[in-house]
Amino acid sequence: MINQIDILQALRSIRQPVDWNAVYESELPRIYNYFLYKVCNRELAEDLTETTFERAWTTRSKYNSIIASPSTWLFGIARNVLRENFRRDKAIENKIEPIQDNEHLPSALDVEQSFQERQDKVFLQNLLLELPEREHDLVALKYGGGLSNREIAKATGFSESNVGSILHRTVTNLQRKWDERHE
Amino acid sequence: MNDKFLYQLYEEPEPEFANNLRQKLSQPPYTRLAQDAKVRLFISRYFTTKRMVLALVALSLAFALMLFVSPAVRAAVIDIIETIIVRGTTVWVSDDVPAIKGEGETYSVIWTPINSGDISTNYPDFAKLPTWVPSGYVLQDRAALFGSMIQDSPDSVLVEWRNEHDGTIQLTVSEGSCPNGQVWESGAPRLDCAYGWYFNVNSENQPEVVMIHEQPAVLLPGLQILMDLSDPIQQWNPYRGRSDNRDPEAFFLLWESNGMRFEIATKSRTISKEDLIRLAESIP
Repeated sequence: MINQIDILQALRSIRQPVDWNAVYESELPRIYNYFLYKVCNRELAEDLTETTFERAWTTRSKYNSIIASPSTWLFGIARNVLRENFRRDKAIENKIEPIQDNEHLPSALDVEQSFQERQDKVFLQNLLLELPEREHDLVALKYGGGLSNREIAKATGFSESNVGSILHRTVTNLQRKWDERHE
Repeated sequence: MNDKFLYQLYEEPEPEFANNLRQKLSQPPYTRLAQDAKVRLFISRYFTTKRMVLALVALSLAFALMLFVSPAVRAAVIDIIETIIVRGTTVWVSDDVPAIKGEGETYSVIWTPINSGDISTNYPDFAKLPTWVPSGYVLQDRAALFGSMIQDSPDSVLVEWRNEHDGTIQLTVSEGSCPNGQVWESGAPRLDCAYGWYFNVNSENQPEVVMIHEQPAVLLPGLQILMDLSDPIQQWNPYRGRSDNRDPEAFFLLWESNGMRFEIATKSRTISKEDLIRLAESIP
């Protein structure tokens, strides 16, 4: 529900043109990581990020600062893109595979630590992929997209307190499994 | 709560990917809209007075729109002369609702094309088609299944009839009900409500409560709310929804029956209130 502060902020923002270059710079890593946390596959995350920005840039003349910030707007499109792709091509789910850390090969001294880190990442990805859709989405928005609980609430339609309690419950469960593995 | 471990997957996008995408977005067709806007701005610099007037009009419209879409704000500043509540639908009537006309899309809604003929087979819960429609109207093959991707709101099915004079009838059937009155009470949502509809209407288009199969329904004359079902329906379409709260050719009718919600939107020079009620009553 819109309150008076929102209205004043919206009225101010009407007069300010959006700096789309700045939006690109600030939002690209967030959108990319949101997808990365969702699909756990770099190539797929890049494809989805590209689709999101193409769609946003094509329709940005319709962007309405009264309704949402550029960030919230982009995350709305991103989630739509993700959902559409999952609906359109169920096979996409089969493409999801854990990220392989091939870019830098560890030195001999780092082998054990690097191996452990890689195993940890794979374990974490599997934990995320096992989450129910709603919980997975919120974790991706929070830790991949870097959104605050308030921003997540705006993007998802949940109340802020609901977002907080779902995230708390989910992260506590993940932490327990994480700790069990590292005991 | 230690959530540090959850940041382990975070990584910067590959510079090559980021640069390529930036380059792509800086080329047509992505820049066309921005370039058009720059040209318009350049021209408008020669019309400072006109710009100021336009800015004032835009601000006024924006404020009016906010009043229109925000029931709480509106209720606080404008005299409501009548409030109609039927299940999850609340209608505020006042003398000074601004004329609002436009189009838009809620980006949280997912649209899936379906065939009207397949509804009874694939979506039996939504197979609630009327047995009577006004003469000349033909059921269109294209229908749509839609629902919010971010909220647990139930799915809906939308079917459409058209005649050769561009007359349109759209029927939306949705799961879910609001059995015991308005969806908000004392500032908190009711848990038994699957939906909430809010309308601010001007008194010249006086809404009324009519009965459909002995169930109360809200009839809103002059209110156009239509959806564009053309291809590619799955993709985000900023022109999807068309609305106009001063359309003399439009009606909007809502009611609830047996746990399902029904909405009929019409735009036609010939469909009367009686036709609309007859159509609604012919839904089994």
